[in-house]
Amino acid sequence: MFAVMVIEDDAVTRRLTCQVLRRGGYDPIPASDGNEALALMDRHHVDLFLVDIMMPGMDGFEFIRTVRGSRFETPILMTTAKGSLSDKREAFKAGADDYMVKPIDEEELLLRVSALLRRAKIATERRLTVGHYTLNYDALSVSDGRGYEQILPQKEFLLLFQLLSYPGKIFTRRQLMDELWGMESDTDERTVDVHIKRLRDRFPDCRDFEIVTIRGLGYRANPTGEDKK
Amino acid sequence: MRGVGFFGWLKRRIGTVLHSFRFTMIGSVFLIMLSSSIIAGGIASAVYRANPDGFTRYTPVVLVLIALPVSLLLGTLFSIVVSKQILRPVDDLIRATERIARGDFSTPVPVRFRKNQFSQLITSFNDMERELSGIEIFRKDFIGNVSHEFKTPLNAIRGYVRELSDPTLSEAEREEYIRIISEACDRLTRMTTEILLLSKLENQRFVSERESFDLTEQIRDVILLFEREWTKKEIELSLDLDETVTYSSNPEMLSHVWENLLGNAIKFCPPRGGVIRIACRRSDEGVTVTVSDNGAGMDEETKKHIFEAFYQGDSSHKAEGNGLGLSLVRRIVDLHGGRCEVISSPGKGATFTVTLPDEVISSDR
Repeated sequence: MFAVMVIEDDAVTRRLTCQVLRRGGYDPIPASDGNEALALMDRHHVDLFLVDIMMPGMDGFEFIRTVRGSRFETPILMTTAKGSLSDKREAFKAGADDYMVKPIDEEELLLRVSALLRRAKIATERRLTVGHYTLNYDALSVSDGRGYEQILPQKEFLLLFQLLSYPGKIFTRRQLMDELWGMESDTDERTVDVHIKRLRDRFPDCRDFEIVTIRGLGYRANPTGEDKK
Repeated sequence: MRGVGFFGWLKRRIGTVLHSFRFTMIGSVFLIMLSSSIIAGGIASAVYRANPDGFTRYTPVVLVLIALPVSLLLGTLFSIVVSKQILRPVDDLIRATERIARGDFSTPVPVRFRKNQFSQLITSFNDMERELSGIEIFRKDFIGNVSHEFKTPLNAIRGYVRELSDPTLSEAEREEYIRIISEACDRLTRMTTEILLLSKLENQRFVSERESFDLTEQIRDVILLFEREWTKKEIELSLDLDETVTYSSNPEMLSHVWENLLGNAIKFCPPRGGVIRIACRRSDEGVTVTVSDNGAGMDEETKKHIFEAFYQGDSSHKAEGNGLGLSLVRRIVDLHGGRCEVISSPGKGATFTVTLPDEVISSDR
């Protein structure tokens, strides 16, 4: 079971969030501010932090900076009552991985927590399994589990890895570009189309996943095998 | 530019002088002096004609002594009449100010002169009065509406919570009541968030935290945000977002516009065969975004009020919204100096068009 530390000063909200997480199959560790959270970290292993920005004592930003400053790579999800852009920017700059504005929808919270944990798991394992296929991040290789393994050009591999990391989620071309080529890149968005086409050609009769074009929006990878997760 | 070069400048200059209040005063004094001296001269010549022989008996000093008081008297009489006429707008304004201070916005101040500084002042004054009265109506209505809109879900929550303590309730009833309470809470939450946003926007005079971004990508992001909703209703999306449209604005603020327009389009799409068209294009005026659905559409009356806070054309959708979305849209578009229009007729769906100018014009309402 994953341990999620809930750092929130309001007692009612904290209790509710913990309850929601428990229902979602996580092990919540409540903390009322940054200092308490740091103290609790000595005794508990934490897989994800859920941090409120506005707190007395040590606030959310300061807490994140402290955690990141001590080289902890644990995913952090920030929550805040204020929805301003500068807040969001500061949260990401401090080292948060995701950001949610209150009032928080419980189901969305669970979805985001699971997505963050999934990403963290992929980041530590550096491999991804979809149906019979296994993607090895370091070798840029894809093996089909039947003894055939191919090494992909870097961008193609990253594209496939990104799409398969979030099965069923639609990505716009721009999102994929930013992820793969970096924000500052001037590469034409149609480059993504070219890479998608090559990927489809590479796995012509793959029964475990398919890459679907969503007209006007972008691409999505659908898992089609028995392993739908 | 009305005229070119020196003559144009002269014409404008003379026009300004002619229409100034100062010129009216100088002109009036000149006319009063002129008319009183003509009258004085007329009296002198009348005296002379009536008594040509006796005239020589009077020295010119006597003549002047007669003419001066007469012209003084006449001039003063003229001034009383003319000054009253000139100063009437001031009196009007004083009375109007007192009236407005009492909270009465009923009558505009009449514009008496054709075109001088006074009539300009009065026109601005009337504009101000109209604006104030609008704000006053908005404030009164808003508070009334807010209280009403809050009371309905609160009553539902209170009522069903009390019902829940009834031990004879069946499990199904209990679940139903909990669902109703939870929906009422969602509605209150949504409304509070939107009212907060609206009041924040009402206090804002310009778009802050501007940055350049791709508008079509933002719209795609919003479409993805609603993926669950349009997938569930099996709505067909027809997108024209291929052009990269770079625009400078506050992305977070502008995002509310697309969220509300798309949310509405999804809400009003028919249960089967819904089609939503979204296009974003660069135009002569800046950028134009259209969002259209093939839903129930709306009549003229609804169209007229659709952007007003708390107005809801179709009461059957009442549970799903609070009538604040489109007033948020309009406020944000206004802050950008843009326009928001709707084309719709009953049964024909609705098309919302938002035009945002590139030139940054900060505007109040």
